[in-house]
Amino acid sequence: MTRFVFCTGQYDSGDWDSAPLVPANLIDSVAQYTSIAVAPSGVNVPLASDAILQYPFVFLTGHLPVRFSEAERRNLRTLVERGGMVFMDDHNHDIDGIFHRTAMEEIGRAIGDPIDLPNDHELYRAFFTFPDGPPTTSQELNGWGDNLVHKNLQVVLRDGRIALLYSSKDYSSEWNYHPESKKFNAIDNTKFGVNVIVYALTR
Amino acid sequence: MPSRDSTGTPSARLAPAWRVALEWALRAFALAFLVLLLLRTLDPVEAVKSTETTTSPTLGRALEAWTRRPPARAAATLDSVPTPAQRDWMAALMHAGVALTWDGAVGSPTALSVTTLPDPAGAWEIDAAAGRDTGLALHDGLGMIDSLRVTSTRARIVVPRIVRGVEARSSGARASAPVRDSVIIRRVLVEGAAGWETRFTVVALQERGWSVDALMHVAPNVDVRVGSPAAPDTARYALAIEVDTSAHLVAGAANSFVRSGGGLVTLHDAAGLGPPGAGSVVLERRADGEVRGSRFGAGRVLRVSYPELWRMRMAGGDSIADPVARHRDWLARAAASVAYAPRVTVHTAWPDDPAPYADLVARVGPPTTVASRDGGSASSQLFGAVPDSVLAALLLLSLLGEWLSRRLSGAQ
Repeated sequence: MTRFVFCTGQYDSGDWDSAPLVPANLIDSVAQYTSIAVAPSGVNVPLASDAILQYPFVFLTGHLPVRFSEAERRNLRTLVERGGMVFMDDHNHDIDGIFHRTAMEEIGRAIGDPIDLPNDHELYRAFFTFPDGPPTTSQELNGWGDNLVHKNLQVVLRDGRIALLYSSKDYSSEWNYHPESKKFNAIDNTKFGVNVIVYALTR
Repeated sequence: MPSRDSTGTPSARLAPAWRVALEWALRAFALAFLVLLLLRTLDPVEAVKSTETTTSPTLGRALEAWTRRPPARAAATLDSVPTPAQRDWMAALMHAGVALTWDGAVGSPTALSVTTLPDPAGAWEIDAAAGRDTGLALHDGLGMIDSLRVTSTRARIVVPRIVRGVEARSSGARASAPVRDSVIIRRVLVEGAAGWETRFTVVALQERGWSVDALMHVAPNVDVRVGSPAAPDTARYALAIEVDTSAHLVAGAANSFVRSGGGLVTLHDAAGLGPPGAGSVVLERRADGEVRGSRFGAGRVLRVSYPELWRMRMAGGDSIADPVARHRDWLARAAASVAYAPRVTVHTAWPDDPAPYADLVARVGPPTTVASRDGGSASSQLFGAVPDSVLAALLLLSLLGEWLSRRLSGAQ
């Protein structure tokens, strides 16, 4: 049986490795809540390499401005056209920040402009149910004192399914902790990450 | 009543010498004609000297003439395979007693079959046989479909659309076959654990046009459903695909489903599941596995042991031309090879002559060189131009004369 391998995409510009604990945390959650065969550790693969196409689910994050190379742009396009899914998260939680602006430009250039995802989309019922849409993060809930709550995620669709999911909610900060620390949380805040992976594997 | 011997005088019983000589001469003639007829029968060269001949352009007129006045033997030197009607006619003449032979170069033996495949995107398999290393052109009701070179003696292509039928042309030979049927295509059921293999199998089949029901197991008691998956039954499904060993819904009904005509495809570690695979044959083999096919009851089973078919779609950079289509086509072929698809006969106005050369040989016989040795003209040798019937008549006349002579001598 094929195991799911969590892949973090490395891109030349910016800081692709700004949330190094997210993969392990999500892998732990997938293994804990589902029967999906999942590799115990993730991989980091250059987005400019053809090897990225071996991983139909790619996680991208960062704080800094994003500028994809031509090879990175081409592979992103190829991955999406062949049926893969990219989850890109703004590690900042501002509105119209530098990562957001540059990432949106690059996404638009590579595969098309993202649109708002309705909060009743099946992504929010793929495994756990989130009746109000994307769960807010502690950073949004006044964690940094700015009260910036993003109401929707953005997506690029292919044949009706999400090919790229973009978040400005800073899940990278929210999920960037050791899996062992999950037991100290009253509510596991990685559950939405399970939905994203289950959606990628089943839709 | 006195006997003839008792009433005749001794002088009357003695025949004159000239009569005895005549009777011996008639006996000799009869024997000679008999020997001649026997020699003609045994000697083919002599036999064809009384053969009527024709060629392809005049075959039609010759058949008419031979029907009105059947010759004992006839030979046709052909430069193309006669039409189906002419072949029927030739066979009928042979049944009527005409020893008909043919020779000549009629082009490379060409044969053709057209099979409707159960593929929602539309697929017809054209299987053509032609001479080794010859060109082959395929046409349908709208024009040329494809042209290819036959490197062995067989060419096979799958095309998405055929109008009325197909004609194959190769080295002066033609074969044609109409579209004979269409298929009723039912749904496909895919079951397996949530993962890339199950997902991309579903996606590829949907892209191909299949209506897919899928059951993907995500967690104990948590499944993702596409459509309305139910236990496989030929009333609903054309085939079922077991992606892995978690496919309990398919596994529970696989034997009865396949026995009643359904198709089953098992992948990876599920390849050992399903109905008994005794008598299976290897259909495809690679370094990392093989595809085995078998029959069980009225249905078919395809066991695929290749690991991770989905990588066919994702792996490879720009060097591989359209890997998505490659993955989709591979799965579509696998599905079509086992799918349960009731057929509906259709009638199209298209020549039905799929193997003209084979039909000619089957009905008239293989080509012979006897006629060519004859050179198409009757011999002027002794008795060569005399038909067998005349020789037979002479034989009978000789015997009759000899008998009458003896009878008359006895009456004197």
